[in-house]
Amino acid sequence: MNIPPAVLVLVAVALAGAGVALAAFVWAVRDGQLDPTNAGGSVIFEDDEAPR
Amino acid sequence: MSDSLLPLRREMDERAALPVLLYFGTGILWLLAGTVLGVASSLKFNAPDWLGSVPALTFGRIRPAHLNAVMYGWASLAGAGCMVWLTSRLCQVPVQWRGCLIASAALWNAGLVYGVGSILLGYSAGVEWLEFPLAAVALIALAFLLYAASILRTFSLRKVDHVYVSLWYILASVVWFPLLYVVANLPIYSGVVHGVVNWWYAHNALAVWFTPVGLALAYYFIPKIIGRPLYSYYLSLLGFWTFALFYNWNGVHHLVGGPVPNWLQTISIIASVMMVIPVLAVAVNHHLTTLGNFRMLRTSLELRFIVFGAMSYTAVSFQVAMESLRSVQETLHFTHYTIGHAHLGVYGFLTMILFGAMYYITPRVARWDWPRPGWISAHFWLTAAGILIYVGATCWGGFLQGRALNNPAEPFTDVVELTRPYLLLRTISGVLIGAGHLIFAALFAQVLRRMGPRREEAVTP
Amino acid sequence: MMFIRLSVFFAGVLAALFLGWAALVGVPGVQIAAVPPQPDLRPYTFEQAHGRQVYIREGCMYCHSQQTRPQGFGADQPRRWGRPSVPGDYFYDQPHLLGTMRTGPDLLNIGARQSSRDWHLAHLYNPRTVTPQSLMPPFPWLFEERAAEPSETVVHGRFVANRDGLDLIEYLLSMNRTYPVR
Repeated sequence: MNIPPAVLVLVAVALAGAGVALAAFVWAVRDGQLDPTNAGGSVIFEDDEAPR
Repeated sequence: MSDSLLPLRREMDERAALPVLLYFGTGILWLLAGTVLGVASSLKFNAPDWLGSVPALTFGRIRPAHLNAVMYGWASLAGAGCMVWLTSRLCQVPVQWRGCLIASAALWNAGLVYGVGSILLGYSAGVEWLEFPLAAVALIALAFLLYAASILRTFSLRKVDHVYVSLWYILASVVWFPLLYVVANLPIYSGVVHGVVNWWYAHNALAVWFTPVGLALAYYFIPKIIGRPLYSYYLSLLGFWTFALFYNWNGVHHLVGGPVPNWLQTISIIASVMMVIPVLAVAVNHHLTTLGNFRMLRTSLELRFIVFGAMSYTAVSFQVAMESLRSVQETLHFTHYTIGHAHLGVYGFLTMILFGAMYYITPRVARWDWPRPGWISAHFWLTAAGILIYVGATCWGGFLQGRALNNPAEPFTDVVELTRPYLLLRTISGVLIGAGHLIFAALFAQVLRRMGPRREEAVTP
Repeated sequence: MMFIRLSVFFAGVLAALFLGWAALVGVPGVQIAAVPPQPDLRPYTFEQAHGRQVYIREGCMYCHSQQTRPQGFGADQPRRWGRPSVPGDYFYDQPHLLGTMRTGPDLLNIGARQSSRDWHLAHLYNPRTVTPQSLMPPFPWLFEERAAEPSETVVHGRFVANRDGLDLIEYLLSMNRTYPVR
């Protein structure tokens, strides 16, 4: 099999990028940034108006 | 409900009034111009010799003029006005840097006049969605950056702890669109690479600007008007990230079967099918939040437009996933089906949501309620019926056209003959839609001129 | 709390756009840019290049594609619209005119399919004089009313093509990618 060197470079770059993304994801989960919550959905009612 | 917030809401609406009404008013003018150009383009298929000796009004010029007037004119200006108001509301801060916004609206319109005028006079750059000459592109890019600056400034002064999902889409769009627009307009591409850049751009213009505008509005107004939070807020955030990741990879499905590498077509098809994930996240939230509150569609005209738009979004998105497959694309590519699909997205989804949002926002910033609710209802039914006929006629006619094109025994002239009734139906539906737009424009003018009974305090800000 | 930190949010948003660009434009751009022109493809002459500008000006690409699909995918091959096109066929095209509509037929090889200058002249002046079912607009402004030189073709009794019309036809006649792919 003859694999062009450009493809090998791209695979290496892609794997490195995926590694960075995975590390960022693990960090964000540990940091609690992705904790499931539905609380944010109510913020739009904080300025609610009187019923018309 | 805290009435202590009333003065703040009033201040926010007052500060937003001038830029928002400027964006809305000029946006509506482009809507009217774009509609005339669109209906005239369609009519030329029914009567090819009509206005046939006027170069500026030939089909190949008014059709791109229509697209540019409605996308960069109507949808962008009305969308920017809505985003300005919504950002202020979601940040609980009056609009900042209003001078930037007024300059932005002026430059934007100057760019549009220059760009659309260039197309009609024969100076198109010749690339679909990128027909504007570079000077017009520069004006519009600058206008967008001024708009983005104001949005980011307002956001940076936010008084809220939580950044609501609508703002995620707004913030993403203000950094995405200028990058995409400038990179795609660079005059450095040629050959097949240019084709790839062209469709990477045209599909992404929807991904990074037009769809985020529509979704930001739907995510705000559906729960807001119904009065209960999103069905699953967490899901909406998952929807955002999958949207950001997959939508960007879709563009090359416009070139399936063409002279581009097979692997490239394949990844775009895969990404188009993966769009089902963010679309389901949006659909679950919009439709399950609405579920059980359909009665409100009778009382709230704003909601009627917005729910129609949300339903169109689900429909058009599943259409994309299906349409991008090679076996389906073999038939539908190059046909009027694509045109029907595009209108379901830009009109059925985005424009209908913009109408709903503008019906909500305009009386609050103008401090004057709509004088004739019956007209709003007429506007809804004319445009809703019009777009359904339009999409039905072009999609079904396009499907038949594609099957005939793929049958080598069918002479090309017979394929043309076959599409005629559907093209006529398209013009008729365009006239219905246009009538709806005239009503909308008249209502907007009446609010600006404070016509009708004095109802200044009828609208809670 | 915003769940995600703002810096992470903007980094993610920019990375998403960049990844899509890299996959759809960056990598294929490098791959396709390495493809040389087909050896039998000729650069456009001055007249053909001007004719191509007229093609762009009048928006021909909104109804006519310039790409031919392979055997087994659509009916381009049985309709004899030309062998499947390859990137090397488009080397001199700036802007590209691949097109996405076939309200009219594909034009990648129209010069090979219809090589009669007179047919093109009559067709451009008013398409319905040669194809009654046609939906194509007429282009009378590519002609002028004057006494014709002996070498010139007269359409509709009194019109001869002007520079724009002649060059557009030069361009159309040059549309021929029927040479074998090498």
